[in-house]
Amino acid sequence: MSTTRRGPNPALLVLTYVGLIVLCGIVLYPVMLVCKKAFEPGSQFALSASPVPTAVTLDHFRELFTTRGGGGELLFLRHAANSIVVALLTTVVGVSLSCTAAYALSRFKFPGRKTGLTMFLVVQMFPATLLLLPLYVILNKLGLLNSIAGLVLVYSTTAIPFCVWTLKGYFDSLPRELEEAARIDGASPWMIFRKIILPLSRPALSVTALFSFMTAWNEFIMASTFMTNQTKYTLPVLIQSSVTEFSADWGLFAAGAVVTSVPVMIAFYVLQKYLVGGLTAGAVKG
Amino acid sequence: MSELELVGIRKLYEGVSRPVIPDLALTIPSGQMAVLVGPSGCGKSTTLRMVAGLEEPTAGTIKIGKRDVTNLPPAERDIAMVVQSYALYPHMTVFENMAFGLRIKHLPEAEIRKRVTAAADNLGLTQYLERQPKALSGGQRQRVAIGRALVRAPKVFLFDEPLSNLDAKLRSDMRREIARIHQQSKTTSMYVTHDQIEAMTLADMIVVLKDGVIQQIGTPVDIYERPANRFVAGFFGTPSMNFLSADLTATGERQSARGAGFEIPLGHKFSGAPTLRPAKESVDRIVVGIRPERLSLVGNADDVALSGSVAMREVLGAEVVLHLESAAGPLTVRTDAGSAPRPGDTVQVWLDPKMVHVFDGATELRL
Amino acid sequence: MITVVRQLRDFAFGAALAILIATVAFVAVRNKELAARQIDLATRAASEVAAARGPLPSVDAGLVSQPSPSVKRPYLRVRHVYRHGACRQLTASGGVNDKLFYDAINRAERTGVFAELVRDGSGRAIAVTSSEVMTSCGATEPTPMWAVAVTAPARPAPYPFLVIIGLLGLGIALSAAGALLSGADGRAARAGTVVGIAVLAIPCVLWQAWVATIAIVLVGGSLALLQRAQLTDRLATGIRIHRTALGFLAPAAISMIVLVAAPFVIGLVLGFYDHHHGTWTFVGLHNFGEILSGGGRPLDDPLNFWFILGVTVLWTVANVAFHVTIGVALALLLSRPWLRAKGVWRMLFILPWAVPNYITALIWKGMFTGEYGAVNSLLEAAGLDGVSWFSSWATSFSANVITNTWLGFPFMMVVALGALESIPKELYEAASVDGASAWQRFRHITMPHLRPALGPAVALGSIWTFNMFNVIYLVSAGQPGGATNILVTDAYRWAFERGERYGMAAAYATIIFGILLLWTVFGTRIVRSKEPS
Repeated sequence: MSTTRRGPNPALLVLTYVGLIVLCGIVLYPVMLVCKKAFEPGSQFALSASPVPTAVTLDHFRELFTTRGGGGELLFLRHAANSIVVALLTTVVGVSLSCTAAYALSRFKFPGRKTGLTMFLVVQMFPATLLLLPLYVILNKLGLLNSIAGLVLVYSTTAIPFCVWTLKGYFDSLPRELEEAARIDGASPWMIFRKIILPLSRPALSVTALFSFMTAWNEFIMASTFMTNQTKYTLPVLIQSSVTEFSADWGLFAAGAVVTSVPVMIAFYVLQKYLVGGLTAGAVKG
Repeated sequence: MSELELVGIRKLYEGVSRPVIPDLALTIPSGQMAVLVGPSGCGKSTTLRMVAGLEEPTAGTIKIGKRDVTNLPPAERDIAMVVQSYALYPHMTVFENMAFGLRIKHLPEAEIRKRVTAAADNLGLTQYLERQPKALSGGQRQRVAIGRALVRAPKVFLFDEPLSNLDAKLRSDMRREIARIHQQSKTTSMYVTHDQIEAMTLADMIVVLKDGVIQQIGTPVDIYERPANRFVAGFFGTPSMNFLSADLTATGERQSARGAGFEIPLGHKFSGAPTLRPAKESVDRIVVGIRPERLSLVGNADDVALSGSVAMREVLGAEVVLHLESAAGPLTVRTDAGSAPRPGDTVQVWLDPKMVHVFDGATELRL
Repeated sequence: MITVVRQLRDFAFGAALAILIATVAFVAVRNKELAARQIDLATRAASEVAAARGPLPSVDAGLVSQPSPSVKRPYLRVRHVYRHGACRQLTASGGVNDKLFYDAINRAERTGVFAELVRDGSGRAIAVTSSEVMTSCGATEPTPMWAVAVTAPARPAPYPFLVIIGLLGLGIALSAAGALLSGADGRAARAGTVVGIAVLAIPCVLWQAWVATIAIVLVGGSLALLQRAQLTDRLATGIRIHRTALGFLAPAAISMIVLVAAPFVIGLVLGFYDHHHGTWTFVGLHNFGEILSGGGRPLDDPLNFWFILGVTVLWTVANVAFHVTIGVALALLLSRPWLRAKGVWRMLFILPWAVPNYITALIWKGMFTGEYGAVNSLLEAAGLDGVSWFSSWATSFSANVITNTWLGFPFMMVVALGALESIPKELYEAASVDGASAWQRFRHITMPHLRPALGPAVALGSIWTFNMFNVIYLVSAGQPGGATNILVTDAYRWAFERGERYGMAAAYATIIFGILLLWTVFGTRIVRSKEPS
């Protein structure tokens, strides 16, 4: 619907911009509110609807960073460390276990290839929450509840299919002549993978790793279910626990939300152009 | 040595009824460069890839130096290939690209360095050794690809239309490079192209393919002067050969080709002509071929004349190509520039009957 | 002819499976047996103590008093234990069993007597029972006591390695013999296979693990059948040919089997059991029946499966409709060629996608909560009355939908933008020249390009919305009374908030999976078939 000859109808122009600004306001309002709350004193949420803080204080941030837990350690740092470790391990496990499979699905013909592809796609689409209960029972039996290792295992159930699909899509786009030349040069398939494919895939590997990290970092319900010991909480659980039914400190919540979200939001903006690419293959989750 | 032998090669793709290559047999003597030419889809690239081991023949055997390599992977065939898209490893320097195959064989570092620098010197790449492929021009990249193949000192070189991505000037330069290297290394080579000039200039033997079937094998001169059938005759030579339909008539012992507006005496050349026929008044369809450069505006004693009107005139600088319309059909004539006729003029062109090629009207084979 | 090597190769495969089955059986049996033994011991010891007879050897048992004020600090209540004729206060420093006693008595007072294995994996069992004995331990006058007993730790029986290895050797010998004696028809070889594998079932017979025994014999039989059909050879050849590909595939495939397939199957199986205080009882299809019959409740009761299903479907449809409408509308606006600062607008509008969705949910919850919540304040500033969002179904549901729409439309917008950007401008120009109106251009150029992109997006989006746990759980928390729960949150509550009914939760999850499967197979086909051909 482009009118390339004259400009647009001025009424339409005004209407469009007004509409966009209004929608933008709706979109930004909650975010501004939480930022305001992070700096406004008091533990109640939004005594006024205005997104501008009436007074600015760093108390909430101070409280966030200096609260100590039962064992005397800094609570926030401890939970941040948990989150970092879990997310990092998930990423490493996810990417390293998936890259060879993605290559096989991209390049080799073998019986069951189509089924394998469909399986990875299906697993990726279906929510991990369906497996929450069996995983809980299994981890309980194995004594892995309340452990970083257990949570990493659980996160890997979605990390691996996602990594396989994304990397496969990327490998599909690499020209085959390079591999043929390497075969003629005498390289074995494993050598080709290590020396030719992987070095050429650094961008895709980085993007996949970053997405996996972000997904693990933002995950709430499984962390909340599997980590019952307070020292093992990850950041999402900590943040959620500051606004329960019984005691709600919205200032602390806001400060924690801001600190936790800003890094991943920046990462998201850097990566957002890669999101749509995988969508036609049904591979990318928000 | 390293003779390349293909026997009974057949290639059939799944879901396609006709085989791409029904039954191919070819022997390339050791040290010779064989060029496979033919139009798109004739199966020349497929044949090359089967020799390389990148595709499997449905049937048949491939032997390199008497060694059966049909079931071996490319790595074990001791071959090297240069392809149209160069296929250089983008993340490695020129040196590393050339050294890759040698490193896999665990050659000592000193030996690798020696071979790579020697090849680089040979190809004029020494100052580029530490660059990456993206910093090189097309011609330089192709040289690196050739260098990568050279250092391996394989038994067989394979070339898959390596010059098709280059512009005309670069192409002729690289042609000379390849010819020079072949002279030096004397490695058995199989070269695939659709360009007849490359075939003519590079080949020790030319293999003409059409629809997966070998039309003729021979030296460039053979192919040009004695084409085995109409297809080969028409494929080589620019502008391509003129073909005139005619009837083979025999008057007593003398045969001649009689067509619209001409009669060309054929002498005793065709004693084994078409089928068993009493050498009397018999009529058979044939096709007479005459190359444009063999038609002249000036006639000699025994020449036969054809007349036609000039439809178009192409000036190529030193030469002029005339397109005539004659009773026998369209004719192309190559002649010197100068007093060449203009469009619309009626001219007579002369041909020497000894210079014509005669093909069976039905089978198109040479007679 | 079946050579010995090939026979042993096949045997190796079957034996690995058989040993796996036997091991599982062994673990199940020995645990059950150990538990039964220990619990029985604890119960008996507790009864003995309760009847004021001496404690059984190797069992730590005693009588525990009601809580009474401490002498030193009267505001604290402590218990005392009467053990080996001595009365002592029950404190944490009295030994690890003291804490067990203390917790056990507290629990018994709340929920009644019990006997079970201590949940620390030590193999100890604890039993509590009420006692008629009265002592003045822990009180000024005699009061009734509780009797509690904790057994000593016990290791379950060790894995019978030697037995298994010995039987394995026997099996190898038998199947090899079968191969050697076999003629061209291979019958003796196959018999050798069956017998060789069956040998590994012997310990299962001894343990009375009948299921495992039958399973192992079936393994042997199936292997022989496969051998007869020459499938084992073909499989082995196939594996050899594709070994590179399979090798590459292995890490991810094995991980998926362990992390997804196994829990999935276990989840499926758990649905047939009922879980109560740590013990599992087989109930067959009872869970499924109870769920699918709505639990015998009326259709508008939140505990009725069909009600929740209806809510979930409504939730999905509403959200996807909003997402697509808003997303496509914004995409159309943002692709006006005369619009300035497109990049900025795009960046702003994908902000909701960038925010972690649990934080979004919590923020919106805060905005909807209370008289002075931000939403109510805005309403009042606009002259409307504030609403108690979570006390009625409609408003609570709307709150959820508003939140999810806020966070979900950017996805559709980005997909639509991508599709719109791929439409060549020349199409529009040619249509304008041909005289098409704006609506006609939209209908015949824009929409046909949007549909193929939106199809998969809607399919994906509907599945994600259907399973959007965080928003429902954190915003409305199912209020009022669980009526805004969707299927996934309801399943969660069965597991973790309604008394650990793991069996029900597992059955629920299986049903949800079935619904999703049906939707994926049939529903998405319908969505896509609506595209013009």
